Amino acid sequence: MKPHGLILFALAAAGLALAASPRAEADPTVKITVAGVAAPQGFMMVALHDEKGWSGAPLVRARVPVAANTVTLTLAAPTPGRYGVKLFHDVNGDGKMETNLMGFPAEPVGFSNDAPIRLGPPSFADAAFNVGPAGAAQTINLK
Amino acid sequence: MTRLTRRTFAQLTASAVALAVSPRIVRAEDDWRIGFRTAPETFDAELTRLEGRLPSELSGSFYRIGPAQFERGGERLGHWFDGDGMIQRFAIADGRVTHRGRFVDTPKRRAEKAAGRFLYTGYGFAPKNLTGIRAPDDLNAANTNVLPIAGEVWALWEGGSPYRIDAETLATLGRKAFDGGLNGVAFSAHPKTEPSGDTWNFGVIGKRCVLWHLAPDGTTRKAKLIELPEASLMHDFAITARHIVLLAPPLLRREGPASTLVDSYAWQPGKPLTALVLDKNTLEIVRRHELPARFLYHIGNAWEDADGAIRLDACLDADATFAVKTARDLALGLAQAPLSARPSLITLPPSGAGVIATLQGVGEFPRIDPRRVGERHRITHGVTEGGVATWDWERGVSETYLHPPGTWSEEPVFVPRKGAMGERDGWLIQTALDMRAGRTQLCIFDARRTTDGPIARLTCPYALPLGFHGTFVAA
Repeated sequence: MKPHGLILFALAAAGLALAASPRAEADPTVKITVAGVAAPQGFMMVALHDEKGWSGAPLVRARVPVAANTVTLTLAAPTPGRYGVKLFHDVNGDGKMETNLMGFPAEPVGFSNDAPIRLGPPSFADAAFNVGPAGAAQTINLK
Repeated sequence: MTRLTRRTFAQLTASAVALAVSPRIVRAEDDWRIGFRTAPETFDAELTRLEGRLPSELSGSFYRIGPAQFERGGERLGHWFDGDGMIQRFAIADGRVTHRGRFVDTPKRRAEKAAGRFLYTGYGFAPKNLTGIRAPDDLNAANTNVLPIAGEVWALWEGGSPYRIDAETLATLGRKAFDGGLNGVAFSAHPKTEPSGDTWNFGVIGKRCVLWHLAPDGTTRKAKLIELPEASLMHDFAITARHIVLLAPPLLRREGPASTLVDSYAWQPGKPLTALVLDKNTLEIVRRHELPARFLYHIGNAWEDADGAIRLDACLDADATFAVKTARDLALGLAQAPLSARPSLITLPPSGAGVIATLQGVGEFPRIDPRRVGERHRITHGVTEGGVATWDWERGVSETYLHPPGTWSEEPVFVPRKGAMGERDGWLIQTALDMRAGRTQLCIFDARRTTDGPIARLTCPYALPLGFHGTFVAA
């Protein structure tokens, strides 16, 4: 268990800026359903990471307009393997995650497996899921 | 008023104050656990007079707050500081007192109520089935102090936002959302409202410390994030006319896994109690003083002398046992421990280390005349075990009154008499749990004669959970 209060959210810095991922036909696909949207506006900013890049740059990212209380999207993983998803709801549509002066997120966030967050992003181990040749599905509840 | 001289300081340490160490008031037959029982959703009753009479000039609302939820779904709360806050209002008017108690309606309380079990870890308790948290306000218990401001009362915690409470009905109006980047930032439970009506506060998470300066209407005049030299568990702070004083005890962040906040800190007796002095205008650290290792929760007041020395009084403990053990034992109903903090006066000269002078006896919950915040004070009132104490920093003496055996007394609050300027010209209001009758009393003292005992003692028809802090708002 992590001591809480320590860790700034790395999300904002994680390069969740736009750029839709080029979709390679043969690649395994992750179907993501994001639930718990409080305000249907702005964009869902979604990133797929592998273990090595969990705290750094994502492999694939997406920016999807939010028009309902649920958002569905797909991300193409480069190869089958273990991955984790980080996302936040960019409510004001400015392309970055709002934080307060102490660094805590002021916009809703979510992680694959609904991995628990304790004042900081979860570990890769908690958020990791398998993507097989046939892809994978994840439902993520915003927090 | 005479200036504090070297001689008075010597008296403070050496004077043969006629105060025996407080006797153990809680005996085996006294069930102190009734002070740590879950409260019903609401309290509403008129108090009954037991002795004396209420001063006719005393009219207003005495608010108090403290944890009031001690179990859920068969699980016992593991630390006193983590219980959901309940705010109490004693409305005093026309010789009568009515009491009302309401829980603060926080998202934490709603979520745990809906789940039927504890979900969140806080200061010192980690329930069996933890739920994640995005930001500190997710586990805000709104249980520590009350701040009258902008016609409302704010219920305070120390890691997140204040909760706005209707001063009359005690209904929760919502979380105080400060503008912009200040939304959800730590706002400690010990803000200081200076005579101008402006309020200062600090808020700390790890090494990150926010300093707040609010206008009387509750809006932010300024706020600044600074980085502290070390991550210390600080609960209170002080202001003078020109400075902010942070007293950082050597309960310091440690490496390694920990299941709760307090467990992620370790007592380091080889390190000093550090006083950081900040300029109120620039909000930057301008002085640093090292004192012998002591732990503290509460500071009475600070002021600045002409020679540039800052003086402040605080209740200093030898170590942090209360935080890591006693407050757990109390919530779990396992054990209570005698009070061990000592009322002390700290001098921080313009340069150099600093000096601690300690009064005899034990005490906690120091409170001063609210009109003297940041200015020179001579008198601090506080709790001593089973009683009330008045500490005179000029004479270096402590006066105490002890309630009848079987009484657990709480923080006394000084209420100035209208139109009077004297530092003791007013009343002390103190709640006290009569463990034998199973009732909470409201006691009014003439602050000039604390040792005479209360001039009025009234009782609720029930016991309230033991609480932390209170404040009086005159009618």
